[in-house]
Amino acid sequence: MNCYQLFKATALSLLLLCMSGCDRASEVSSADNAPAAEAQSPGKVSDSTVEEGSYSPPVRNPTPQLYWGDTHLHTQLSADAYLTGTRLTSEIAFQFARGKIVTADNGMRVKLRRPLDFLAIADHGTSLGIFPRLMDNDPALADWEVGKRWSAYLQAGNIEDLINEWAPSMNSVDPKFQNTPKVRASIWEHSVATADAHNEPGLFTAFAAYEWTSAPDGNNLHRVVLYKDGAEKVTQTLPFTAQDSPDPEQLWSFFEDYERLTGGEVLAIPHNSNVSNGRMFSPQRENGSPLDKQYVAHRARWEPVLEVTQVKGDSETHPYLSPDDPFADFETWDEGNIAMSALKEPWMLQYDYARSALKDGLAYEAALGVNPFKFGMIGSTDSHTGLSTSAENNFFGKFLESEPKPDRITEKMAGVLQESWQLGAAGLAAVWAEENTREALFAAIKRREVYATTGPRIEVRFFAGWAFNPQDLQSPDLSVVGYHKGVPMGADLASAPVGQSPSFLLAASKDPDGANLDRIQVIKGWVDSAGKTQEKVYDVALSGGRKADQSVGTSVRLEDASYTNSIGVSEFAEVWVDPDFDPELRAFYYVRVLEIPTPRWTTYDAHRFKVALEENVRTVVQDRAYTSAIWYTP
Amino acid sequence: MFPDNTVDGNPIDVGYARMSARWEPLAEVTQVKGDSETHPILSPDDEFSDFETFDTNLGLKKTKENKLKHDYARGALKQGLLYEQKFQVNPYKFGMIGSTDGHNSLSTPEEDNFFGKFVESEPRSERTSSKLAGDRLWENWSISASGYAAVWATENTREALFAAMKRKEVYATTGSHIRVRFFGGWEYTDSMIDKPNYEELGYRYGVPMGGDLINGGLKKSPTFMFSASKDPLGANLDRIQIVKGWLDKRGQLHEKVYNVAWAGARVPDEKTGFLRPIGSTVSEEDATYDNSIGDYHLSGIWTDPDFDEGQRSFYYCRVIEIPRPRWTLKDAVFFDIMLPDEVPKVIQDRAYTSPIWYQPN
Repeated sequence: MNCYQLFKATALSLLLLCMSGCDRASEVSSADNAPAAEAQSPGKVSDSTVEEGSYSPPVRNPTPQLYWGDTHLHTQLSADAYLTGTRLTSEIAFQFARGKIVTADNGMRVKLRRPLDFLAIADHGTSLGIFPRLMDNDPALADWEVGKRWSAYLQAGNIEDLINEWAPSMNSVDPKFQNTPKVRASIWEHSVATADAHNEPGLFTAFAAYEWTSAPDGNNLHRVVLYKDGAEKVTQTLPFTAQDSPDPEQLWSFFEDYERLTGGEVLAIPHNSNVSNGRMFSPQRENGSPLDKQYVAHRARWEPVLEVTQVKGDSETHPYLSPDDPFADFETWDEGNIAMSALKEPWMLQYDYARSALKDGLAYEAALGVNPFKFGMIGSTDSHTGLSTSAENNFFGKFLESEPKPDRITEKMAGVLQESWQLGAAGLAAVWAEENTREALFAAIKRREVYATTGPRIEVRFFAGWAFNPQDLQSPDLSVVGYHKGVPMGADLASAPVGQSPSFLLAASKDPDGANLDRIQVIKGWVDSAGKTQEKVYDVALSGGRKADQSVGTSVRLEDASYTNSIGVSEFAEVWVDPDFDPELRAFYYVRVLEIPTPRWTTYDAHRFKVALEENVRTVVQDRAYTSAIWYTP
Repeated sequence: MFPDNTVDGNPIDVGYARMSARWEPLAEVTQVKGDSETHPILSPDDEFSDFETFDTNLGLKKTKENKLKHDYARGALKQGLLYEQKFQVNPYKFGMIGSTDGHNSLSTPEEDNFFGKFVESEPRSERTSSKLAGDRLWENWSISASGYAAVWATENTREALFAAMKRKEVYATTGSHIRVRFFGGWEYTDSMIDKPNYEELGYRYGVPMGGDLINGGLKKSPTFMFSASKDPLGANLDRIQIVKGWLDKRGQLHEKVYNVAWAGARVPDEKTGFLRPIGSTVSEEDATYDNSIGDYHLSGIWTDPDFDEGQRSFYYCRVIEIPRPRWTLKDAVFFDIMLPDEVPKVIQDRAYTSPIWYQPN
């Protein structure tokens, strides 16, 4: 057969094939009596729904994918960022998050090793975007008296006096500090439009967001306000700020109004409970009365997750609260409140940290019927530079002044606050969602199927049920067996079969571009039969077959800021059964995964800038992941 | 496909070699109509060479044995060395990718989610017992759930992916998301593979897949750094191999497959290097397998023990998964049908990287 003949034979076959294919397609589309699951006509793009009989496993068993992002980033629209030198816009911030090289405000070119999957720019709602406009002499602000004073300072370059006047306005309800609703709307519309422009369903999610920056007496009550919706709904209201009210209950009322007005969805993510000096998880409302049924119901409804780790320290737990936990003292910030206007006292700590709040939540649930502190956990940066950088070796600080330079380690934030070496290169929000869209990520956050890392992309799975066994660990896709036999992180475990203890499927893989893993732990909190809250940390697996009290050691070389993965392991997969289960007692369980020690960002700085570190500067870090808890209720 | 003669029947010349090298930097080495890495007749010492073999032409004629070297990538990569000696340009210096060639608008190379080539080989109870085009062409069971193109690029844009393809920093898989790194150089040391930034070191001290190694007068053998991780939703890994092809001083072409990393406590034969099979966890009754054998990550450093600085050669990396149910076995269970005896039920999916070429001074 020569080439031509072969071509003819092939063409004939293909023609026949096409005809038979066409026949079949028309048969299918004309068959109205097809079974319901197969009734989709060819070519229809369908939404993901579970179909028991489908050939295609992802249709039969839809399992979420893991997406990485930051729900808390500031740009020049935040007043404190602008006044400390940030000029990067939200436009640049999105480009950077999506993997582009940008030039930081310190003049250095910077790029993320891997792009993020989602980002919420949460600029301070108070004074949102006014300073760039005052600097530009925006005529729309010409009649605003306070603005005129501030503009004069700005034009004169007198930032110190400007900050002294502006800072107290942050938590003042005096209307003179608010500019006109028209200008506020214009700034807010621009902020939301920028998010809409960068939101590409399936590829990258850009949330509309802002920060409610309440700090009564300098005690941090900040919340990120995160919307599911786009401009059409979000811009129907202006951001509710601490100048409207510093009381979170008023914020929640605003949420209720927003949802009723627009049919949209919104939630709040508290952060930096560690610098709240006993206020973030306080047993009292802002008016001083004890938490009541309405408070706990509203808090549970509007605050499904907590930002547990970020640049201003870690809020998982504190050595004072968890003396038996050798890893409790992690990136600890316990000198005082966020304004450094009051020192920390030991009684405050219980109301400052996530683990103790999770425990207290169980007690509230017993007393009031609802758990106000039933939150999942995420990390984010709270960076004010427009740059979401949480890697130890690529850390661009919190403000312009803590962007890389030889003396950033020895300076204080804003000249007077905490020392900049104390900043943590953290964190990331990990979300298990069906797809990378606003709707799917928002739904995952609401159901708490999320976790926090202090920077690295450690992949963590966590399921609870009553029938997991070690055989399940050999399943090629742990998610399939996890959802089939149990519930994921963030969910509830109820109805204990008589005489059984809950079993947990937990697995973690190292960041493919990062450090090996030291250990994987389950942290349990419960209320005992005497009504007292308890906690216990279980080492479920350690690398290299060690005993619990044996350290993984270290491969860190301080002299050249390097480490190797010659210790630790790249993956854990375990089934763990609670050995101390009591079916009568409320409890929660979450997973903590620790990396092997790596050089802290301060060590990279010392090496790159050839500077010596002071004795008190931490040089090594064991980055980690915290999952959302799974709750057991009798 | 990789001929000694042009379509006109004349021997290929330096002009052809130049054009071929310039315009065809890649070969789609695995897809639904079978695998083109190598053939058991070409590579009799390679126990993994008979993989999804599809050695009839479109008119269903079996390829003549002496033509096989023109049909398969490994044979062509070897022939290329010979031509390079002759023309100073290698017409068959290509990188390797996989793709599907699916004709039903669905890109589905995975064994448990395979929607065939044409509408008639989309999932249905008869697809494993029918022939393509109404019994005219090949048996539908012989088509393969394959493959993927993997690209190491700086970002996901047309420009960056195209540039990576042109520099051959790509690899093929037969349907899994196996992650493979492969670097060649003269200065890699054993501890580098433990460094978290081994990829950075790979580039700094050598070249990635698709690159060229040139002897700078060093009296030493080239060293290769390799790392592979399993598909996070798939099968563990059986082994990593390095496939070497070379041209000896007498003008003879050779090939050799080296086992360089493997799962479990197996010990290769001292003389032959043969490593016994990993075993299987495949359950034919319910078309399942588990990851109780194999490893999720294999990596290492390998120095060519047989290096001769005077010989042109190439090296590529092949990563083999543990056995898992082939799509045909998935069909048998899903549609509750019997498979004819000749239908393969189990598969060891794999990845092939683009080669790194060595050229003497």
